[in-house]
Formats: sequence, structure tokens, C-alpha cells
Amino acid sequence: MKKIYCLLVASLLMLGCMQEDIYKQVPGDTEYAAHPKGRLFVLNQNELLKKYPQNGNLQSVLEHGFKQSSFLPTTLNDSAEQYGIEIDLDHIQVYEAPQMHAITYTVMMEPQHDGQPQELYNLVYFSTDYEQYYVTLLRYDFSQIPFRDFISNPGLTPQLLSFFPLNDIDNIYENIKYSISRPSMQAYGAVNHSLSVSFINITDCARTVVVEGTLCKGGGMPKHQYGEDCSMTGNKRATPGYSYMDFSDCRQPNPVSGGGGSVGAPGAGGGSGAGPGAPVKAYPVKEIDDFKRSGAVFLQINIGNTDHNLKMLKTVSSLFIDDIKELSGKLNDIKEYGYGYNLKKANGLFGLINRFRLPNPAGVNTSVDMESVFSYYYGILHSHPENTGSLSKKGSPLFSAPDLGALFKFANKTTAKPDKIAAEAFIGAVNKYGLYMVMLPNEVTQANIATKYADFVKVNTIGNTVRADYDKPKWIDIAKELKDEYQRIEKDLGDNEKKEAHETALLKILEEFKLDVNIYFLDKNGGSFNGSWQKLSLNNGRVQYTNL
Amino acid sequence: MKTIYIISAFIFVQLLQAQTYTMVDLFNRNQRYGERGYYFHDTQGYFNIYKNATWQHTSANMTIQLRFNVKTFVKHNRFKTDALVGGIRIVKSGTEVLNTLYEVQQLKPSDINYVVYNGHRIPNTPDCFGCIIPDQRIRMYYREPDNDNNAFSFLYFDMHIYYDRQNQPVLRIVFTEEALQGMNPAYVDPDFPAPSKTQLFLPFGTYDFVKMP
Repeated sequence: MKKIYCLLVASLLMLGCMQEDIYKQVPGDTEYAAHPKGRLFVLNQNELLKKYPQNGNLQSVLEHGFKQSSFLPTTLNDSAEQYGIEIDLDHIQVYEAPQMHAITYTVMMEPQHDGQPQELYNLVYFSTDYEQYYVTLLRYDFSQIPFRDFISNPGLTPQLLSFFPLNDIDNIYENIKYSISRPSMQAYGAVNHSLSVSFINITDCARTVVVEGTLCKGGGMPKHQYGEDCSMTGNKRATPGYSYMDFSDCRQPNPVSGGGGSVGAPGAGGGSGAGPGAPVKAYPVKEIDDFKRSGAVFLQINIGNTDHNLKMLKTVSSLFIDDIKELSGKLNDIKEYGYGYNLKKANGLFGLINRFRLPNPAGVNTSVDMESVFSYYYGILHSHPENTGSLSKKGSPLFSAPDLGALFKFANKTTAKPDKIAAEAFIGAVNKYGLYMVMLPNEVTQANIATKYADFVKVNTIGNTVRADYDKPKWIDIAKELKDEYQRIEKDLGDNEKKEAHETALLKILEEFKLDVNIYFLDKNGGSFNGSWQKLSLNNGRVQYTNL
Repeated sequence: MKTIYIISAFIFVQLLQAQTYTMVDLFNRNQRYGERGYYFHDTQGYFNIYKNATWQHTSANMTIQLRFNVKTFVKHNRFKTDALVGGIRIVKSGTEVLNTLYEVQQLKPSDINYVVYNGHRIPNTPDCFGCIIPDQRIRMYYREPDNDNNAFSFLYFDMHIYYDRQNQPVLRIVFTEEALQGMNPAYVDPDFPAPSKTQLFLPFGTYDFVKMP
């Protein structure tokens, strides 16, 4: 009997190990969900290109399609402006399985708005052999089936999905623009843009696997699902489900369709007119049967990166790294320094338009003038020097009340920045430990900011802009309690206790006054600032660091 | 019988609300100021030398009077604290421009409802004139009435008492532009009405006050 138990336990352990092998994660990738046959993760365009250096076909497809061999965060793609189409190059969902490789981009054809989308475009490169890639432009229509219902039931995919036939144009921006602007190339498979009969039809012969998404891992109830405003960051956020359609049981029609320019049958070794040595291109999906010819398709909606905090944190630590190092190098000066940043969004990336050096008020070196920064800027980085003259004048080691309040100025949409999102605003303080950032949670929008922060802000007469109102009692108490505790820590505690004590003080005071902001930290790391961002939170009164 | 139930219920609610606080010294403690369940008490009587007196500064065209009192507040149903609160009277060229001296006799809901209220104590440095006891200065927050200017919301001055050659107590306050914390009082936000208050009644400066008889 004992032997049987042992055998059973051993079998269970083995099964556990097998499961682990199946659910292998890629270091550094954001794994979405586990699927027995594949893995899901999110990359940016640079990471994507670097991930498949041996896949010459894919490299060629992407480089020719996007007309660029590398995508530096500082470079904004001109194609986006030229064609009025943006493709989010910062949040690309990738699915890898032995017989399926799918790369899904979000395509933006109009300014994005807060809240859940009414329709959404995804560009998908997919392949069953990692050599021949198809490309399709998908349209999700939420006019009949609400986004929320779809997310909770990804099996509804065929009922709201249609596709725009693409052409043989190399430049994907031009290709999309051409396709959507030609009357004869209207969304294929959709009837009055409401019912996608073609996708429903092809499910008849396809074997479809539907995997539900994961819910937000926050403590609140009910749990948020993908696409809903969520304050969590990183892998604690909700993820979308997906559908996998295998067409191997479908009757294979004739080789890839003609009409409008055939690209040749898959396996011919190239796209339209491909001759020896010609660049490999993706096969554009022109009709519904092209999906069948592809062998299989992987469909996972990508609404882009809605973790605005994380996106901006990565922008700051890459785009402004020289400024961060400069500010860090001046911490022994008896003076505060700082910069304000005017940014531009294109293709899901931030680029720098202008950097403004913050002045010190006349005769006062212990502060920088944050008010002089225009409200259409995205945020500020400034130094908190070790010593501002004497112990009695020691600067705030961490955020002061005016630092926290300045965040609200940059959280507003403006005429110059109608696409700015509240959770992209930031105030950063460089001190001897590293760079601290304060940001509004991801769920804060222009619509709810005034209500959510009613105890802290004033609203202009039109009702569309908020600013911190420091005469609100909570600000006055926060200012006093922060200063008192920072002073006590500096005076009474040892150096090795101070960092966490300052963080604890800030987090506790924010919690007690219900000032809902996120605090992040990037370690100085010997002056390189090259580590991972951490989110700071309280757990039983102690600071908890969560790597992002 | 019904009355007894009501009275019992009332007493029960009162008992529930009567929170007990652990007393710690306001200026020498291991707890964060504001920590739930503590009473931050001026056990050493640091406030005593300031209270129950009127202090006066006189210059060519300005007279400033300060008066302090000690009050105890329960704040945010979280903690209890002693506070040194103050009123101020400013007369410029014979005209009284501000007078809140009477407020120190009133009990307001919170220390921050007074024009002047205490913060933390500050370590002694060479610029602390006549300082002989540790951390002799105290940071006092200062906010003039009807303020609508963010730059004037978090003002403070540093205060202490030293003794002159005649061994008379002199109250010194040091009020500098650093108290603006980087904010410009003349700043007008284009999205909001300009603040009506652009100047303080109390100019920045260092002032010595004598104790009025």
C-alpha cells in the first residue's frame, strides 16, 4: 500500500514537472497566460527584431514593412504622420508555439479616447512554420457586442471580427492607408460593419481553441478584466483571451487568390514578383480563403499598452538617462536642479520635443520653480540635494507636498496635447538612493480626476482642468506630517535605516490621507540607473518592492 | 423601558468613540507624528515660554504682535496632539492690516485653522542666535486669512527665544523666501483666475520681539 502511495506521489510530482516545462517563461518577457502549446509575451519593436536574429524571413518582413531597421525610442516614425496611421511599436503581443507564430500590433487610425473602444484595428503577422508570414488587418467591431462582453467571452471573436484586404505594398502604413481608403477594399466579411459572416463561416471547418483571459490581480472586487481601468502594473494586470483557429481540416482551395495582384502561393519563397535575391515579404490576406490557405490563425486582441505608468517609466529611464545622471551628479551642490519635459506620442512611443531647465526662484537655491513649466508638458525631474546649506535647511529627501501637488498640473489634456493621459504625468526626484517617481494610477482619466481627488484639487470654470489646491486642509496636514517625519528620520535614524523609513513615511501618509498616487523607484545602481523599476507599496506597515 | 434602551445605546456609542491614546513626547519619540493611537504631548513643557504672553516687534513703520496658546486636538480620529497656536496683529504706518490675536482664545477644530501653528523642532546650527538648548528653534507654519494663492499655502518661519544682555527674553522669527518652496506668488495660471492675494501682510525678514508687560 505504501508503495502505491509512493508511486502516486511520484507520478504527481512528475506531472507537476511536466506542467512546468510546458509553461516555460522567457526571462524579461511579460507572460500573459499559459497555454499548453505556446507562450504569450509582449515586446517592443526593437526587442522583437532582436529576439529572432536567425529568422531572416521575419527580419525582412518587418524591416521592409516598417521601412526601418531599428526603432530607437527617440525616433518617431515619419510614416505615421504621412499616412495618418499609427502602429503601436511599444506593445506588440507575440504568440510562440511549434506551429504558430503570431505578432499582433494595435493600429490607431484616429485619436484615442479614454474608456473602452467602439472599434479596434489590429495588424497581425502570422505563420505556421516561422518562414512564410501572412499579414492581415483585422477590425473588431463593438457596436453589436460590447467590448466587455467580448473580453469575458473570447469565443465571440468570429461574430465581431472582419478584415480589410491588404495589398502588395511594402510599406505597411501605405498598405493600410490604401486598403482602407479604397471603396472596393472595405472591410471584408462584415455586413454593414456589424456582422462578420465570413469569419463565422470559416469556423465551420476550423478547429478552434478559445482560451479565456486572466483577471486583474489587484485586491479589489469585482476583479477588473482586460481593457478596464486598473491600477495594477506589470504582470498583475488583466490579460486578453485568445482564439486559435486550425484550418488543417478545411478543404484547401486553389493557391492564393489573384485579382489585385497575386503574391504567389505560399512556399514560393517570396511575395509578389519575388525573384532570386528579392526581399521576402509577408503575404497579404486578401480574401477569407487566404486564412484557410495559411493553415491556422491566432487571434488575440491587442488594445495597446494601457499601463500608462510603466510606459512612461520606461520612457523616462531610457530617454532622459543623461539628465538623471546629471542630476544625480549634482546632489552635493547646495542647490536644486530640474527639467521639464514636453513629449510627443507617435506609434505608441514617446519622443522628446523640448526640455526646459527649471529656474530657481530669485535668491532661493533650495527649490526649483515648477510652476514655470507649461501644463502641456508631461512632467518634471528634479534633484533633492543632500544638503541645502545646513541641517536646519536640509531639503526633503523624498517628495514634499508641493512636489506631489505639481503632478496634477501635468495630468490634464490640453489643446496642445489632446491625447495626453492623466497617468502619463510624472514628477521625479533624484536623491542619493536613486530616482523616485510619483504618478497617478492608470485608471485616472480626465473624466474622473476631479471627483477622485476632490479633497486635493480645484477645477477651472469650464470644468476641464484641475490643479492642486494647497489651501485644502488635507494638503496642509500632509505638508506638516511629511516635514515632521522627514526631519525626525534625518535626525534620529542611522543611515542604513533612512531609505526605507522615508519611503514608509511617505506611503503611510499618502494612505492615511487617501491621496491615491503610485510611487516608483529606480535604484541609482552605482550611478548607472540601469536596473528595473520597482513599485513601492505597504504590506503590514513595511515597504514592499515589486519589480516591474 | 424604551428610554433606558436609548440611554444605554447612547452610552455604548460614546464608549466606542472614546478612544484611548498612548502618550509620547511631542518632540522626542520613536513614533511618526500622526501615528494612529498616540497622543503627542508636550511633556517637557517646551511651549510654556511662548504662551500666555504678547510679543511685540516695532520698527520704523511697522508693529507686529504675536500671541500664543497651547491647545490639544484630536486629528482625523487618528491621533491626539498638543499644539502651539498663535495669532498675529500687524500695524503698518498706523493702520491695522491684520489682527487675529483674539483667535488664540478660541478653540478651533484643528491647529491648521489658526494663522500660526507649530511644526517640528530644528537642530541648532551656527546661525541659531543665542541657542543654548538642543533643537531650540521651532518651525511655525504661517498662513494668512482668505488665502487663495498656492505660493502662500505652506509658509513657515523658524522661531526661538534667546536672552539679551539684560537677560530679557527676546523672541526671534526668521521668515525667508525659502518658505515659498519654489512657488512664485506673482504666477498667474492661464487656466485659472489670478489669485486675489499676491502680497503678504507679513514681509519676509528677521524680526525680534520683546515680551509685553
